[in-house]
Amino acid sequence: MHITVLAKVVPDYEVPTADFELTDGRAHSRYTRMIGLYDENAIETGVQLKEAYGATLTIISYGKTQDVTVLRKAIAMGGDALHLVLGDADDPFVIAANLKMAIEQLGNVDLVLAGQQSADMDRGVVHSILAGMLDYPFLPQISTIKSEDGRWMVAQAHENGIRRLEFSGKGVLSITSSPKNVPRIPAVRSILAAKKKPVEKIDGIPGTPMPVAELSVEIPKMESVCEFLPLDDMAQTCKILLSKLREERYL
Amino acid sequence: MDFAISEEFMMLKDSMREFVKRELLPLERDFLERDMSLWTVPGPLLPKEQSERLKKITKELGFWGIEVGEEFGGQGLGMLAKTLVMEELCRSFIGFSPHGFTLPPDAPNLYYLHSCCVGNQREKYFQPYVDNRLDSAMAVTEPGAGSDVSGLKTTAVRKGDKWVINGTKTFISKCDKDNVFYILIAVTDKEAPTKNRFTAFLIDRDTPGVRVGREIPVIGAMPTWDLILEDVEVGDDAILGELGKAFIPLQNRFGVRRIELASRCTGMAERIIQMMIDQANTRMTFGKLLADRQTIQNWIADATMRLESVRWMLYYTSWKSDQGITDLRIEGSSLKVMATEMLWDIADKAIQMHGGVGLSKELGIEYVARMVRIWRILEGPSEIHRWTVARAILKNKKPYDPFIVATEE
Repeated sequence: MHITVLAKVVPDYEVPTADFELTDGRAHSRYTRMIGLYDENAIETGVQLKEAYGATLTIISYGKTQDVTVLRKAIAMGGDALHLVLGDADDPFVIAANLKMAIEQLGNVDLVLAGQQSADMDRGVVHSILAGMLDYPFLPQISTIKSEDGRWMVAQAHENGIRRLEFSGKGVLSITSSPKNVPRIPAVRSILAAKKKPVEKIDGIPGTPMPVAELSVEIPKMESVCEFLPLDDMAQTCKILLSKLREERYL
Repeated sequence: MDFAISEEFMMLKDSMREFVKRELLPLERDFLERDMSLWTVPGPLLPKEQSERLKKITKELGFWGIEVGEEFGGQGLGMLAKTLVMEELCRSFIGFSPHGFTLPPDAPNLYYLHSCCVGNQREKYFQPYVDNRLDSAMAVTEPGAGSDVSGLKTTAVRKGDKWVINGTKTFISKCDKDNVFYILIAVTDKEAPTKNRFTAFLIDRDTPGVRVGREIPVIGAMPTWDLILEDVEVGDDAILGELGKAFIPLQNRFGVRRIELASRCTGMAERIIQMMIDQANTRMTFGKLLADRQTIQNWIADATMRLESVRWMLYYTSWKSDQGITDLRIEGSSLKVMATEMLWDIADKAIQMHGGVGLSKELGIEYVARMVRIWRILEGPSEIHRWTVARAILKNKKPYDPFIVATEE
């Protein structure tokens, strides 16, 4: 069994969006770079499948050479190898074409996992385009995966419930976060071993971008703090609200 | 000179940062509340079940004994790796305090025991200590003698094939632990010069005549006790190291401890500077953000400059230790003073910047200030360390030379 996880390196997602300083429409290079939040859930899911079924786990990314130092974490979490396609396009069709090339080079991939969306553009479209290019089924927002009698049993997490699905053969799955795929913290020995695992850099291809031009990128300055109060009893809710405003010293 | 950090060390830092974020920061509120009742409701700052849980996780992650040799179950990654990990751990109030959560085994005593334990001492004390089955406490200070050890009065007198120990120790930590043993310093030859006067003994907690006295409340979370020794009889097998030579290995122990203490300070200083930045960028006074006021700007700039000057000295000293250089007396003493005074000043400015909230028990800055005030005295007060540095420099008749020439390998 061969599983690949697509991982994207993004600017520090712990920096509030409104605080980002942009250069040429993108986060300034001084921000710490890290693996996308959901991509780490996907890596954890891949590692669990590797452990459960003895699969081979390859991490694939599209980005720059310097991303290797960030992506090495995925190897320390349990990946067997890293394949980095070199390129700097933002166009999802170009990115998907490059990822398709890397997957086809591997040749025998059973499952392609990816975080449901990156933590920079938050578009969540590359994996579905990739599935189309590969002619694989695409299953979004998957929280758990099991293999039973040669079939994949998956749970799709929606806002209000869980939908269980099954399929056989190859597939592209976007992974959402769940209590079962909280990314593991790389252990010291795994960190030390990660440097010895193979990293392959692959020259990117131009692909065919969408006929769309980016005119500008703006991040509106917003300040909001939101807390939902229970609404079973309006009078009680008002009391809670008043109490909270006093506690926070607004009144 | 190469100031780049290796990928592996950066990942070690990141892993510890994630551990702190997931496991320690959520416990801080209860931890600070517990600190308030420490002196009226005795017991550990962190509930035992939490300590055990955190120990289990950190052991699985491989954070025990980062700098300790692999032969002792450690990772053998050296002092710089340990320093980087400690800085991250100490960005939390729980990891910052040795009375919160520490990564076993406590290395200074480990090295001391490793260099001095012989015969069955290795099985009885050293290996259980390595495995975290036993803990150890130093018993040096007495009511009449702290930094000036020549004033120690606890005696070990030879009677037949036994040593009979009498005296009172004070400010002794870990006396509430049921798995602790003491490394106790006693006078074995009153007439000898200081360097040959004292011997270290390994004393079991339940040895007849060993009595834990009163607990000594101090300004921070540093529970310590008096330790009373009344006709405590031990054999020659309790002697740690050589008779009359307690202080040479002890000095090396202190050197390791000072590097560790400095990393506690730099880690926490970074956290507090972040709090200062957040406060400056959000707090309005008289129509202006604090960030727009020059006094505040100066405080943040000074705090950053002081932290970074200590941090690079710390990394340099850790690196030097990793090069096999053991005489780190100037560096260790310098770091002890620089780091504790740096954090003391930064915590003070942070309290001032936060106003009334800074004084409150909610933010934790006052907890840090109280702890670091203790550390300006504990393990040698600043004045003694300045004396140590000055004495070495004046004796050499030359300014300090920091350069180590790279060797071709």
